[in-house]
Order: sequence, then C-alpha cells, then structure tokens
Amino acid sequence: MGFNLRMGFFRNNNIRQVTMKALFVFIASGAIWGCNPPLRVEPHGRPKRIISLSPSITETLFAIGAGDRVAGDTIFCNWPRAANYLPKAGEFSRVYFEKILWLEADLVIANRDSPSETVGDSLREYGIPTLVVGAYTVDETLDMIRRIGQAVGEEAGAERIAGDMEKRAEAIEGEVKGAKRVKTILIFGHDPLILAGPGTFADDLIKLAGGVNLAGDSRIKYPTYSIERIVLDGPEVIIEASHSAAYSSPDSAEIREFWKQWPDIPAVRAGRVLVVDADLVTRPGPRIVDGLDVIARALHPERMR
Amino acid sequence: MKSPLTTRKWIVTIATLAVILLVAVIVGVSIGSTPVSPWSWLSISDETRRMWMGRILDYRLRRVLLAGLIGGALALAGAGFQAILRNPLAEPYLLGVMGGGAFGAITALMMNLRSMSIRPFAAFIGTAVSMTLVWMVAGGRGWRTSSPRPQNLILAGVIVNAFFAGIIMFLTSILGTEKIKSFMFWVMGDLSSERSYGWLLFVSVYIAAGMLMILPLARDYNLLSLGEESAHQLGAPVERVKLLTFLGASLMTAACVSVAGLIGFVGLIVPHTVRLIAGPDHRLLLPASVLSGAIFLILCDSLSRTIFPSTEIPIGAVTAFFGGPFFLWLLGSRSGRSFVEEK
Repeated sequence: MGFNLRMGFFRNNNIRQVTMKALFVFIASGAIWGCNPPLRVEPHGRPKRIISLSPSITETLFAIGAGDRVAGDTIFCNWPRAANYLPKAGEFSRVYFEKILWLEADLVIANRDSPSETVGDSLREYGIPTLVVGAYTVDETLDMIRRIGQAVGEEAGAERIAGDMEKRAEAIEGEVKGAKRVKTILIFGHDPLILAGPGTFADDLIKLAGGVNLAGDSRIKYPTYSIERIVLDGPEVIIEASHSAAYSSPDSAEIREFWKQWPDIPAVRAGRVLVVDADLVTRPGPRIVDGLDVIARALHPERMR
Repeated sequence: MKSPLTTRKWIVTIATLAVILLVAVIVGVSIGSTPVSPWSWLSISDETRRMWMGRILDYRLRRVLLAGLIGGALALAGAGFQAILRNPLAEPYLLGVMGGGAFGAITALMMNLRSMSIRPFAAFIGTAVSMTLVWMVAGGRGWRTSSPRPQNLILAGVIVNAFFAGIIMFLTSILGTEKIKSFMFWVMGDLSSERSYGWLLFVSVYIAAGMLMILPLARDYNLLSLGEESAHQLGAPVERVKLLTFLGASLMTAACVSVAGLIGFVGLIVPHTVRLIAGPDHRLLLPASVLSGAIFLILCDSLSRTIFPSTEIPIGAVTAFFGGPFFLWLLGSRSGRSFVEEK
C-alpha cells in the first residue's frame, strides 16, 4: 500500500484557491505561448518542388508557366488535365502534412479559407516556406496571380496572364455599362438551396456583369434560401453553379423539373435558368474572366457580341 | 470479486501499461501514409532525404504525443465523473461538458480569435458554464446550496449537451459551405489540425493542472463509492471533492476539445475496461486509466491514419467503431456484475 498520490498543495482547497489556480494555469500557458512564437520561414531561391493546396492556385501555377515545378496538389485540382495526375497533398479542409514532407516541398501555396488561415504557421513549424493567398473579387485575383508569380519566379508569365485578364474584364464591363441591372441569383446547391451571398466571388462577378445579386444583402456569405423567398424576390435570371452531378449538366432533368414547379418566377417564365461550370465562378484563378464572360452573356445577351 | 489492492499489483499493472504505452508510441511513430519508419530513417544514406524523413517522424511524434495526452485526460475525466456521480454513464460527453467546451471554442473561432491562448480558455469557459448549468438544473436551487442527485445530473447533462449540439448545428448551418466541412470534422474529432509544440505545451499545461486536481482524490473516491453519507461520516470532504473533480475534468476536457473536437467513447469505455480488469480501487484505477486512455487513443489514431492510404478517418468514428464492440464484449463476458458499486 502507500501509493496514494498525496499532494497537499492540491488537497484541502477552497473554491477561491481553486479559482486562483485556474487563473494561474491560464496565465502560465499564455507565457509559454509568448516564449514560443511561430517560426518565420521565408522562401529562398527559385522553388523547384511547389505544392498547391487549392484548385485556383494550381490553375494559376500552370497558367503562368510553373506547371512543371508543381510537385503536388489537392484531390479537387482537375484543371489543366495534367493536374489530375499529380500526387495529392490535401483536400478541401485538410492537409496531408506527411505527404508534403515526403514530397520534399520547398514552397507550399495555400488558400486562406481552405484549409485555414493558420496552415502557414503549421507548415513553417516544419521548416517549409508557405505563401497564404486568397481572393474574393476579380481585382484581388489579379493581385493574387502576380503574388504567386513573384513567389515562384515567374513574374513575366504572371504579368502577361493578369494583364490579359484585366483587359478582357474591362472590355466586358464596357459592353454592359449603362444597361439595366438584371435581378439575379446564383445557386451553389439544391437540398437545401444555397446561394451566393455578399463577399463571395460570384457576387462580384454578378455586379461586374451588370446584374444585381438578390442575395447580396444577406448577412451570410453562403445563405440558405427557402423557395418561397426566391418566388417573392422574383429573379430575372437564375444561374445554377452546382458541383453535384445531378445539377451540373446544362440539360439536367432535375433542374428542369425543379423550376417547372414555380412558373411565376420571371426567370423561369422567360426561360432564363442557366447552368454554368461551377469551377468558373468559384475559383479565383486565370479562368475567372471566362466565368465573368458567361455570366455577362446570360444577363445581357443583347449587348455581348 | 477482485483481490484487494497490493503494492505488488499496483506496480505490476502500472509497469505493464507503461510498457504497452511505449510500444504504442513506437507503433504510432513507425506507421503512416508514407513508407517511413525510424529504421528506414537510420539506414538511409542520402543526407537530404534523411532530413525530410526525420521531419516526417517528427510530425508523427507530435501527433502521437497529442493523442496520448488527450486519451489520458479524457479517460481520467471519465473516471473522476464516474466516481463522484456513481453512475456508469458519467462521461465528459454525456455530462454536457464537451458540448459546452466545443461551443466555447467554436465561438472563439467565429470571432476570429484563433490564437492558442484564447481558444482553450474559451472552451474552458464553455465547459464551466455548461457544468454550472447542469449542476443548477439538476439541483433545482443553486450552485452552493444543493447537492444534486446523480441521476438528475446525468439527465440534465444529456439535455444540456443536446442543447449545445443544437446551437453548434445552427451555427454550422448559417456559417455556410466555406467552413462547414471543418466544423463537421470538428464535431467528429480531429487530431490532424494543430500540432505545433506550442500547442502541445499549452494543452499539457491544462491537462497537467486537471490531473493534479483529480489524481490525489483517489482515497476520497474510494470512500464515495460507499455513498455520499457514509463518505461524509468517514471524513471525506464530499463537496470539495466534487468541486475539484468538476474543475479538473473541465480543464482537461476544455484543452482536449479545443485542439481535437469532440472525441467520445474514451471517457466512457477506458475507465470501465480498467475497472473490469484491475478492480475498482481508485488508487490504481485513476493512473491506470490515464495510461490506458493514452494507449487507446494512440492506437485508434494510428489506425485512422493508415487504414485507407491517402485519406484519414475522423478519430471519433474510429474510437466508436472499435471501442463500442470491445466494450460490449467486456460487458457480456462479465455479465451479472455491477459496474460501480462493487468494492
């Protein structure tokens, strides 16, 4: 016997002492954190084994001419075709740390929303330089492309792509300038109906294409709408940009059957329900102006040549 | 009936568990999604390659340490709750402590307070609030005046947990697709997201504080198993023991929830399994639960990392999948014996 872990310090406490101790723990932990800041690791030289943690970053790297130096990407990177066959180092919300180390990455480029804003800190702990980027508008996308170009040493390629995109976007904005703003909603998913709200990429595209996003005054970035609300709002154009197989093809029977139930919606009456490739309107990469073009044609077919 | 606790039995049990824990750590570090092991690391000649493989081993070690810390803490929290409530269902998850902690941590994340000094503290506030809520609902009057009946506490805990689960669900549904997956993962438990040594240190401070509050209570727990009145007459400071247990378990649960989300089953099955094998004396039960919880979670995490190449199963699913049937088997093989009252 005699193996009672008797520790007087933690016995015979009253409530106040215990509270003080909890406070002490909190302060002590804060002090430890203060002494242990995340390591800052900057990219050095021209990276040769780049890992992309987002489809838009993969598209950008290939477009600016760094595609042959991409050593790994995510399971959702599907464009250009070659991106499908690269080793997979992450998914939407998770990073395969072990895989990144196995691939001997000398630069990881991650999106600040997926997997997370802090992914850079975690990777730098392992001595891997990490660039965290993100964009919610066309302008921010251009900045992002130039930043990636600098980080991987392809400034010229990035400038060429970003400059082209800028010109095309300006041309499209010029075409739709002064036209009546078309009431629009963009749907990311059915069951439940998830719309593009304020601060999303699609919201910016709708505005630039001469429309007004009816869900743009929502408080939530990706609000769930009831069909009653949509009927009441009366959108003139409905854009379907779903990733699910049943709702992503232009001749989807599900979409046709769904909207047939609500013939009072102006967009349904006028046959202006349009299915677009979701990747074009959700990825802040080099194809985003293609997305803008598609939406502008849907909103103002009379103006777009 | 188990033989009474002897020094010899204590040493043998703890030493055996320590050896198994060591083996579990080695297994955890040796297997993963890439073919790297300490042996291949030692035998490689290429310097650069060795450095990268070393980093992979370092990555695995951090994760194994985190799994061990969390497993041990949750098991001890469960053992403590079961002792003071004398209820086999008592567990951080079922008592509503975990749900409250997750709510606190998610609230901090929603407010973009991602720093490691805030999230566990927010989780601790969440656990403390939910515990107080449970205590007050179960006691009917207030925090200090009442001593709720164990059955009422569990009932209140389940209800409070359901309430917080509802709030978390509501938050995830209004936050939109961007964060939903990570929140889903959050609710199912995830050991893969935060593993810097800073986090490890931070979590271990919380857990060490909780363990130092609960481990010295072993004798009092033994008295409590005779019933609160008897324990009181035999000199156990019943109310203080309860309060320290709640506080220590809340601290540990908060630390666990803030880094790894809700991992159920560990606090329930580990102490019961240890009790069935090593007997009900808390002087052995408490430390043995810590070691067994660490072993259990390290092995579950190793499985979750390797069972399917290039993807990971949420740790909560693994603990439930392997823990559930094992527990049922133990239950069946010892049927007819009560859980907690046996002495």
